[in-house]
Amino acid sequence: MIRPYYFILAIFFFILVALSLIAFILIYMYLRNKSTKKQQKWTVMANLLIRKAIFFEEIEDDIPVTLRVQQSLKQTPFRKFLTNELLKAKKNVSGSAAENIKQLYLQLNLNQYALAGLKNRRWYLKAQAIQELSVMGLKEYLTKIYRFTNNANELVRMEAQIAIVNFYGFEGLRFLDVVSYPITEWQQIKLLQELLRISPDNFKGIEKWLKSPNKTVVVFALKLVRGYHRFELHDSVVGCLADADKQVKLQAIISLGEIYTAETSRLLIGQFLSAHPKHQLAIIKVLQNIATDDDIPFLLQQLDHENVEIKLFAARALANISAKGLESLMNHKQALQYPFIEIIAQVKNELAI
Amino acid sequence: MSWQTFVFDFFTYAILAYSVTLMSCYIFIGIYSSGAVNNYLHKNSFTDYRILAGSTQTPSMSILAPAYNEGANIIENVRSLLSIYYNNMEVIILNDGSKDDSLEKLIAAYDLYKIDFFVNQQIHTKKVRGVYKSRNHVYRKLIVVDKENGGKADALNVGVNIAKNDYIVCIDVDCVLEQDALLKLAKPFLEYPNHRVIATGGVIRIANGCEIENGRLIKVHLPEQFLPRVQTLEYIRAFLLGRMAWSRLNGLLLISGAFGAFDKEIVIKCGGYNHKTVGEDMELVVRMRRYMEELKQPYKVAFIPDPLCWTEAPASFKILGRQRNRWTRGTIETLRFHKIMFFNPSYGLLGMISYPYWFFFEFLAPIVEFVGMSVFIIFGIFGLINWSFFFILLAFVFCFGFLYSIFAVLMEVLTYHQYKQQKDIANLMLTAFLEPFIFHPFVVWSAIKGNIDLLRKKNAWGEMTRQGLSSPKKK
Repeated sequence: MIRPYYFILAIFFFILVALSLIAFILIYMYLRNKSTKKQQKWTVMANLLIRKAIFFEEIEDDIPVTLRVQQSLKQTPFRKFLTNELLKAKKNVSGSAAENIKQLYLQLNLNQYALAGLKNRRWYLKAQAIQELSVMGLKEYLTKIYRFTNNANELVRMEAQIAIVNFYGFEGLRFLDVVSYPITEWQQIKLLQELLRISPDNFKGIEKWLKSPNKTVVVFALKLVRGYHRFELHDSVVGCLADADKQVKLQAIISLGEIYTAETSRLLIGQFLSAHPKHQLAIIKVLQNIATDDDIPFLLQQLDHENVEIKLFAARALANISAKGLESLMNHKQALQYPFIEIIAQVKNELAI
Repeated sequence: MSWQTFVFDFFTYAILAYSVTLMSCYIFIGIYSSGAVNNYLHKNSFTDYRILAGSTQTPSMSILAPAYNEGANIIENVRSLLSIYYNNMEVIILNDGSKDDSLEKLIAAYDLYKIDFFVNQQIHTKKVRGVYKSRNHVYRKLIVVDKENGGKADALNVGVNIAKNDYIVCIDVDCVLEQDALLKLAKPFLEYPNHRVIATGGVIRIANGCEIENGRLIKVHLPEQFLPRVQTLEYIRAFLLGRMAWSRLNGLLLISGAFGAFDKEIVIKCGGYNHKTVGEDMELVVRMRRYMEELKQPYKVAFIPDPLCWTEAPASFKILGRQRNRWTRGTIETLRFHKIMFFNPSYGLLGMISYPYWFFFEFLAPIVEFVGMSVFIIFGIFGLINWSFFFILLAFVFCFGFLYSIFAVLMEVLTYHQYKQQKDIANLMLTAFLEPFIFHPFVVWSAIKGNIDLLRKKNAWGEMTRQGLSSPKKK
């Protein structure tokens, strides 16, 4: 028999822990409220300093920093706060104002803390430090940052890759030559967004990336091909259609829809029969934009496909090719039967909009 | 030792063993979830959602909002949905044969006209009477579907058939979404290159007492009424602790029907929502997981701790009772449909941990509690009980429950801190103290009624009368 004594002990333990948590919550909230008030003062100080920096015009001199700011910088919370404010300001301005913010950042020696962060064992502090150096455009730390582009930690790796692209634009994508970890879809979106700010000037390397053993690199390369309309890589993209990876194949089909030649529809139709249903649908969708009158017989054939979605997209493709395509759709033997009567009505409705 | 003493001791220790196992699970959930939330917050500090908002590469999403007799607030609710920040989306309102003037109101407010639309019946549903689009380009993302009444699951299935995008987001039309809710919900679909993310859920919070204007949340307040307030605490516990821990384990079985995103292809392959259960939200997630397990494909059901969706909680015992009754029936039906997975190693973690946990600690917990309490009372009547020991046991369980709730409040304060005033937090703590005396016994009783109703084959949804969230409340 368990003695009630143990339960009473446990009850006291639970009460003690609960009371400690309550005390912690109340103290935490009190301190948090206090720090919110302090932050209001810091915001005024930081805004004044940033404004001064943005409009500073003396090239040779240091940006004047008040004694109060200098003393407050000894407190870690204020330093972190000011660093964040400088980062926000740097992202929102350009030209000499951005340069001045960078100068202020260096003048306050905030880069030293970021460099220390690069050596920190905690991944988020490391990633934060990389982001900070990247936003401030401190290219002199390239070698230190570059080695993180294939780091085991996802966030560290992502920030390092973004930083390199931020420093060197398309040339910075050279990390794709060696990266062995997957590049997530989210990272691909971030990289593409980062690249939008830079003029492409026929950057090199895509051909190599299209053959990368890292399938996510191939997918990213295919997105670059279609995003930057690299027509000269048409044949390399066609080569990707033979890839065993489903995602690579799908992206290759979509990319061909953007860099098509007179041969593309024939090539895609050649792949259709042996393709996975998902790829078949993608091919039909691409044909909607690139097919010609020559492809009408193939599309008419697909109206008899067992997959209703393929029927719908084949009908849409026919209607979009030309008047001849629409006519052949309407003359289809089952045009007045379900589902074609509804499909044709929808397609005609879409054409009218 | 007499046989009565033996029965009493056996019963007492069985209940005790059950309670201690459940408490151990809660301790694990508390610790494990705090790691998951901490990790998420660190990761999220690097996320600039403006990138997703501006990108053309975002996953395409179709919001599905079933509406039945929502005429009073439908215009505002749709406006709120249309104002969500997300580029690549469509909003599909599913008028499930409403008897009121919902459709007429929508047609007038959004300048709708009936279009020719081929509905691909990938999932069999009740008849679609018409599909409407707006003449006004501003509302180009809006599609209104008028269909015969068939219930929520059927309406959602029509939405799945009509949706043209890769992901569907199922919501209750009267929920208030945060403006960036979809951006946050979309991100997990982009983050796992080696797993297929089949569903994502976000935290649902209680909107009673909050200031809401034109379908937007203006200011968060703790509900003044006891029932919504205790549900606020309950939701913090369930979402911030429970679901985060299960998601980290990749064993989450439930994404709330009020707000969740799903991979449309998998939903269709699984046959869509099951209209034979009142727990269609949980049933779909379990079926999708089962499908992926049977295919032996790596997958994930993700969950994010951000408060993304605000909903009105029942403010009366009558409505609350109906809701909990329905939840219980939904859970049992789902577990029954998928009983093949129970301790079945071929379903991995799903079969060996998630399903048994739900069976023993979600389905059985109220039964064990009810039976336990009843038996103790009977023992008491026959003078077989050691009352001091009984009350010590009761205090033991009560104190643990209180501690767990306080821990949930701590997590809320340390993470999202929605209730900023000390008065609100103190109120939540007081609520945590009162919950076991008022709210919990009622919830247990409602669950028992749910079990009885299921045995009697009563499968009504139970009318959920709402007070409405649209009138702003100034403080």
